[in-house]
Amino acid sequence: MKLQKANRLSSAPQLAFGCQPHKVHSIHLEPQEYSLFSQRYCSDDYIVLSLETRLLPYLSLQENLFLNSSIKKKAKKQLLLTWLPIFHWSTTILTKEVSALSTYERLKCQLLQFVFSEKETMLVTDIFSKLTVPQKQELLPLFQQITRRAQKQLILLTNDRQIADNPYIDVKLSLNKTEKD
Amino acid sequence: MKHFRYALASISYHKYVTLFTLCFFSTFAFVLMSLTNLCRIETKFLRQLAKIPNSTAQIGYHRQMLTYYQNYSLWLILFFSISFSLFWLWYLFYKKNELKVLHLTGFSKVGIVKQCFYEIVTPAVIACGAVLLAVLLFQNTYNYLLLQARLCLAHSIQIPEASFSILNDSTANFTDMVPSKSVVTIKKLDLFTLDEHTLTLASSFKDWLISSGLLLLLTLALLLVITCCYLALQKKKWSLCYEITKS
Repeated sequence: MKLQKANRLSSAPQLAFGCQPHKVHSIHLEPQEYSLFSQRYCSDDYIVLSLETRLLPYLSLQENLFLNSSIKKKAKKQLLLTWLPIFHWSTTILTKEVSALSTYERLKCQLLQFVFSEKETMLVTDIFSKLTVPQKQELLPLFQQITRRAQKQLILLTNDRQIADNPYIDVKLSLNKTEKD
Repeated sequence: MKHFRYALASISYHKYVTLFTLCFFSTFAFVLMSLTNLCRIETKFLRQLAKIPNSTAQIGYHRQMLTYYQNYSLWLILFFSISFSLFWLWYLFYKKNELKVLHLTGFSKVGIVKQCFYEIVTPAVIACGAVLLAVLLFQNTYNYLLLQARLCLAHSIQIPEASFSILNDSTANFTDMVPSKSVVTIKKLDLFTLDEHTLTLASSFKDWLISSGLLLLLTLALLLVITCCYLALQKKKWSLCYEITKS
């Protein structure tokens, strides 16, 4: 069992990137390089943060956050109590209808889903151009909190130098450098 | 169990689709059940007629009716398959985003198919059950309707009704069989023998079981084939590569 897990980790793609565990990474990509990147590193081991909805309209928000997870009911409550304040939310958000959530709230829901899921790495595509400045200022520190507390990796793929060189980014990677590795 | 819970939530959320599914399945189950019931009546007639001498013309008449019913049933089943396939394709496109969410949150293909199955089969079973309940509750009305439909059908097909002329010759036999009444018209005699032997609860139930079982089996087969094809086609579009390249 242990060996299996070790195998899975060693073949996990974050090591192939030159990623470090529990850190926020950024990769600056030119627009034409996105397809190259996806061809090379495409795998089911990641979750992708995207502006599209990842919520089922017919389930409650809480059920949506724990979609396809095997966490027990009691543990769910505990997890929500610890994580909602980190996301600057009170428990009242759980009573909201899924269809009434804004795009930004849906984005944060996706992050919560990622925190509660078994996947260890999340790719963040260029969502920042669609966000306002306060939203960006909330989201970037949140990325760091997630990697530290949930022990996961985040990789930002961006075309924007400002985002790629942000102080909240722990490790800066580039596509050429990963090629050498 | 988790899939069943999600499916129930989906069923109550998409009310209009559920309503349509209920109507769709109850209509088909009812019509198919009536047709199997009519087939049973005709075979019963044939069996009874076999005992009566000089009834070849009438046997021919009933046999012709029977083939008509069987043909109608076959056409109905074909029509059901086609319309269900179209409905199901529409349904998959209608729920495209939800299926995509299920796929991207890591549900397996089997899990997605399972959930689709529950989403459609639960209302289908309810519809078939409602048909059975209605038929059992209004047994007399149903029998009356069935016999009326039979007469109408015979009329519209315009098969020369052999029963009268032939049976008139052998009326003596029948009146012997019914001692208390001196004059029995042929129509009454038909109904008499029907009520006695054919349209009992047990036979109605049997017909219901056959027709709704057939419908559900067809549903299952079509659903499996179409959904698997659809998921295989969408796989490329729903992959990570596509997401990154698109952005």
